[in-house]
Amino acid sequence: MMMGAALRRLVLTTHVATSVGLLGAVASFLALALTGLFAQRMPTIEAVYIAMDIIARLVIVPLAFAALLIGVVQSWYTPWGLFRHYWVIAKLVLTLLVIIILLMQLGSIAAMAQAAADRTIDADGSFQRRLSLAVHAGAGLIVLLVSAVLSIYKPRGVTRYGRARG
Amino acid sequence: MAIKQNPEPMPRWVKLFIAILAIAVTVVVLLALFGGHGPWQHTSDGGSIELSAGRLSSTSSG
Repeated sequence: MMMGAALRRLVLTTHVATSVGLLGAVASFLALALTGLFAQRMPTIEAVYIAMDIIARLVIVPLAFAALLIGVVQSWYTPWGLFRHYWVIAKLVLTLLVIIILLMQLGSIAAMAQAAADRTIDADGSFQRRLSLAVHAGAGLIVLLVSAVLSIYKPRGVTRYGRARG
Repeated sequence: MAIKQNPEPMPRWVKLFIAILAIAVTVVVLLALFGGHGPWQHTSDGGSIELSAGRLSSTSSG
């Protein structure tokens, strides 16, 4: 079953908006993570981790799931298919990886935010965790950029399933 | 006699993608296992960061 042109455009617009929004949100998260890593003043560090928790839970997680869901629906109901082209599968794998790593990091982000709210952050003692958040955010941004490149360039390659389906 | 079709080979970029992904996943798993960055060491119930190690040891022991 294929979508009509109008619906297809609407779904594509939503998919681009959520994907690009996710990219921007992760970039903001990385900026905050780097600020939290290198800032000298404790009020700045505390504010950063509280903001990071809010961005992660209320912006990044919903956008990530929306991008995944809309992407799957879009590919399923268009000639691209979900498993017909390697670049679509690659995007799916990358998005799933980003979501898994993100969900694994949520506990750490929440712990930092709680420590910031309680004013119990030890700048030296928590350095490894703060570094970890910045590294994860940087890696996530790179993965999302790769995903965006795949969307634009659509490198060739049809899967065996795609060839069988014609 | 049926003609055996040659399947289209997997593009080079897909092989490269799989290789990079495999290396990245291996590094992440090794770091999680031996570098002390596993998700089981993250706490979500607040408290100070220094307490995390204490919680880890208490949950690990039972």
